[in-house]
Amino acid sequence: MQVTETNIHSTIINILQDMTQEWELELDGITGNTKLVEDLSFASVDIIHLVVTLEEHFKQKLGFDQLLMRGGRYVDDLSVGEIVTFVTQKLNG
Amino acid sequence: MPVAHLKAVDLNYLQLPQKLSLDSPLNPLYQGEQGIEGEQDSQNDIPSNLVMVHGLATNLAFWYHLALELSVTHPVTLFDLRGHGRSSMPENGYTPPQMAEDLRELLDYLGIETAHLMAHSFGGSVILDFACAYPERVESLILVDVRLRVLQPRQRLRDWPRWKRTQRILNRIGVELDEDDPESGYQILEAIARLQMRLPKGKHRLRRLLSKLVPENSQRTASRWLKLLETTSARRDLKNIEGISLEQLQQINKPTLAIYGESSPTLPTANALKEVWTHAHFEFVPLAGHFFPVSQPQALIASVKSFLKQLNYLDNAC
Repeated sequence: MQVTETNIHSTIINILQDMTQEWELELDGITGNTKLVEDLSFASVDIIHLVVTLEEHFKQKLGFDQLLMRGGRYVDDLSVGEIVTFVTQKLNG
Repeated sequence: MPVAHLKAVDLNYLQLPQKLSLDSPLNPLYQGEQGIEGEQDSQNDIPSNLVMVHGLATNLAFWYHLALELSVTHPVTLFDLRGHGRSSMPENGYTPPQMAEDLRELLDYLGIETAHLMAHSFGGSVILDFACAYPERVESLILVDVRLRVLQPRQRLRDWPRWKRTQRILNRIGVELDEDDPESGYQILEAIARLQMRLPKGKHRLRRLLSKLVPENSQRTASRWLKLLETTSARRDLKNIEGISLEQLQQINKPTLAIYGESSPTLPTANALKEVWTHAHFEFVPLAGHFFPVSQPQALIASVKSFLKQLNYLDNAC
């Protein structure tokens, strides 16, 4: 069954809100443009936590390494929109 | 991620199952049909866990990419040391022997009897203390750029192979450090964490420069490291580490891979360790500093895979 990009977007926003609710961030809200490190102060372990939570939620491995690594190195940062697009492609590809 | 609620600490951990079974010809440890028939118990087909321990001021994500690759042949367990990552931050207990006890409790909690232990930097002191206390639970040791005080009592910045170059970078970003501090590793981690906390958002060029010096480039990790130093016994515990003794080192005879960056400040430990551990296999990664697991992960992955593969052949030959 296809999962819509809108549903995936809402799921990811909800997970991010849960993760960051006690972090005292100066942020109006989480959108597709929100960046994990720059805006949400994610540490690398929080990114792994997000990956594990998403794979548990969607009950399948999503191969996030392809998104997290470029040229053999971790990417500096990721936007929520990039993650939504990646998960949508993986679930519906 | 799951959390192990232990006696004095809650440890965040992650387990990656082995991706390919030993009867898959795609598994580099595949022994052929005869090898499989030779196994008497299906339990024996599952290699021991590879448990990976990170260093100071970082977290389990330090190993994540390597762990994914190494989990092709072995189940892998990662965890955050106490006071790091998403683990809890008790007021005390930050010496390597105390953290080795955390590791023992975690292995008990997860039902892991024996394991291959792999660690970077400070994590190496933790697994060596573990190996001294519980040798029967260690299959092998993989030490990645580990400094040992007994072999390298001082680690001054002025002795670093690339210090002048690093100093120029630090000076450009406004960090002045004491070249003669014998525990320069802690000094540099703290100074960079303080800089990360006051760096405005969007200073990508500066952040990229910092990433050449430390593996973790987030304010959240920097703030946690500073909190650890300021609100717990960690600063005192880490400064006063006695460390493993020469006699204890000499008693460790597990299969060992010791791998160091050719330009790392921990090189004096490697050179001295070669004299102590004639049984160990040493490798040096060209053009690599202390954080080569991040800057050159493929070099480390290849060495570790080859080491574990060789161990597997030896096990099957016995």
